Amino acid sequence: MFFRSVGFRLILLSIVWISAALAVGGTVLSKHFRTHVENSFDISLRRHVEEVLSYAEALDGKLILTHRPTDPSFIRPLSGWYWQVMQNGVVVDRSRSEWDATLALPKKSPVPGKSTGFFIDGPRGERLRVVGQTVVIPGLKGAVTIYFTGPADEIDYASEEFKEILTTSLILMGLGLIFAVILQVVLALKPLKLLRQRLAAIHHGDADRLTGRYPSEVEPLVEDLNNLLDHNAQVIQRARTHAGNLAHALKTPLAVLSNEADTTEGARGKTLSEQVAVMNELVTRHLARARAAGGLGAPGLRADIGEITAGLKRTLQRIYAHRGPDDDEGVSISLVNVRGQFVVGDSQDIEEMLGNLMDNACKWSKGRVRVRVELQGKSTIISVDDDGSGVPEELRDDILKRGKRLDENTPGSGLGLNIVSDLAEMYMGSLELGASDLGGLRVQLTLPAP
Amino acid sequence: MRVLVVEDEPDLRRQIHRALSEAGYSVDEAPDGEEGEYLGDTEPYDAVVLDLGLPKVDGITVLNHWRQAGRDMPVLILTARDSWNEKVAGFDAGADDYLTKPFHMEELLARVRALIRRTAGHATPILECGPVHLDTRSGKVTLDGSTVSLTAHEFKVLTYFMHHQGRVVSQTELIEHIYDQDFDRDSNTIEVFIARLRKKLAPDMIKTHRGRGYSMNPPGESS
Repeated sequence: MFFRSVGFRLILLSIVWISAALAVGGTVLSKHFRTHVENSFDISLRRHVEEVLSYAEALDGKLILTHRPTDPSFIRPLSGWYWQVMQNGVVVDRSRSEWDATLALPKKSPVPGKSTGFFIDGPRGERLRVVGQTVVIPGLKGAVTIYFTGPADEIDYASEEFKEILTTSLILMGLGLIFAVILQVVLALKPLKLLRQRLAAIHHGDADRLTGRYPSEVEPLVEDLNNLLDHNAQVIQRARTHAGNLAHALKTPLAVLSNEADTTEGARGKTLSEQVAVMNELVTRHLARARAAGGLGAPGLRADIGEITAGLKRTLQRIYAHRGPDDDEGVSISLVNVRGQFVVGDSQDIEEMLGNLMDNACKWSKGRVRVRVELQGKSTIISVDDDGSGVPEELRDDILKRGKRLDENTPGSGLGLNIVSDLAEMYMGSLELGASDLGGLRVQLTLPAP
Repeated sequence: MRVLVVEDEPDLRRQIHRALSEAGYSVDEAPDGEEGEYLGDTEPYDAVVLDLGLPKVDGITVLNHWRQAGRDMPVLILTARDSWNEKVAGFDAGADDYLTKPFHMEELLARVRALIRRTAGHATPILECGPVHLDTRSGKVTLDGSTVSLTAHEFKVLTYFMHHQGRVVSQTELIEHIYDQDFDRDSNTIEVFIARLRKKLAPDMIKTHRGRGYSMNPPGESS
């Protein structure tokens, strides 16, 4: 889930490269700094070498020092600050600080003219930084090498301290960079997030187009989406118009045929009549589907149950106003909690479903029909109840089957509930039959709420 | 009883015309919305059968115009448009009933009969006036229980009187509701029909109001 997010990927990648870059930079810097500290240390040691060198003289073929270095560090015993003068592998002179030890210097003395720094282990086992210089003094046989040492701790301390400061500042810098990256990603992706919200609004039926201003990279996408939405709406409208035209074109000839069949005597008339009825069923069923197919998956559609049921109530109460032996028993339809209720879907499709359900209820009722809306989680449940004689439990499944009618004598194609069931399925809803507290049938239509 | 049929399909129009005529109605036809609207505006019809998908002017528009102009004759919409959306629109425009194609002719006749009956304020399909009973469904007329045989025109005159009992009906009104527009009208023939009805039923049931018209009342009552 996270890995599919562009923002998450960008941030993760940034964290990886920022960390890598800072780690490499930190290592290089601290290495470089250590070298620099060692060099500085070497330079200060070399200065002492130069000093001692200036004191060295040859007397009767022997090396003597006219002075000794005055720095107290070279006098304090085992201070780590030592010096030692070697001639032909023999110690000629050494600092007082060395006490009775001798430095474990490499056998090979440095090449004359060149002085390099290196590490050895001191008398106390401590690490020492050593600078040695080999010189040739006139009047002396063999080269003289002067070594100066200082404790390596000092170099280590300096570079450790630097490393600490460096690490702290690099971590802070890294965090700053990551924060900046997150900010950048969030800001850059904001239009996409907005787009997603607007699309969600369209899916919920709160809007039918994408609105607002978008960056130039996103704008063409928004325009295309809007065009697509418009096109979709047009296609639905066209499909519906075609379906309507087709209905008109087919049903009027069917009406003519049906009437001819009724006036034709004998088996021929009956066959004709039956076939016309079959054709009418097919046309009705498939036109209902064709009309409805447009509403499926088209965003931005929302149906107002309050408005639809009010219209249907008005109409059905007029249709069923004249019943009973004295022609004056109508049907009273009560609408419960329908106002301000919406479902996702095309208004006409929802009206078709509710119209069929309410018509059925009126047809079978003794005078009372009730339509009630309940919200249950993400679903809207519309129940249509009547006070008729109801349907036994074992027959309820049959009613929903194609074209099945329980009472062949009552007018109607018997397709009503069937069409509703088809439509409900297309809208990811369901249709259930049950017993009503009014005494008759309860039909429950469950549809997704916006 | 005069009925207007507005339907653009010639075969269907012919079938409806024939069925309504056989049932004792005078029938006028209009093949499009424009002519239908004009006829509905100018002629006194007792019922109208109106298609919705009409050439020139749509049926709903025609109905709206009639109702706005105060024409309140009962209108039965006969259409292929069977969605509830269209039914609601039809009733809201002022239709009194709605029948979808294809249909059975008996259904259409029953609906037209019921519309006319209700408009005249009668609850049951059997109209009564003293000893005379008229079953609007079968077109059977009985006097004290025995069947009376009437000609088509006599039946039309009697039906109109039965629907408007106790009211003075002028000769012009009678002619307008009995003959379709193509019929050569002659007021003298009305007098002939009434004389025959008086003879076949009870002599005092149809009264003459000089200069005003006729009225039908059960025997023993006067208007």
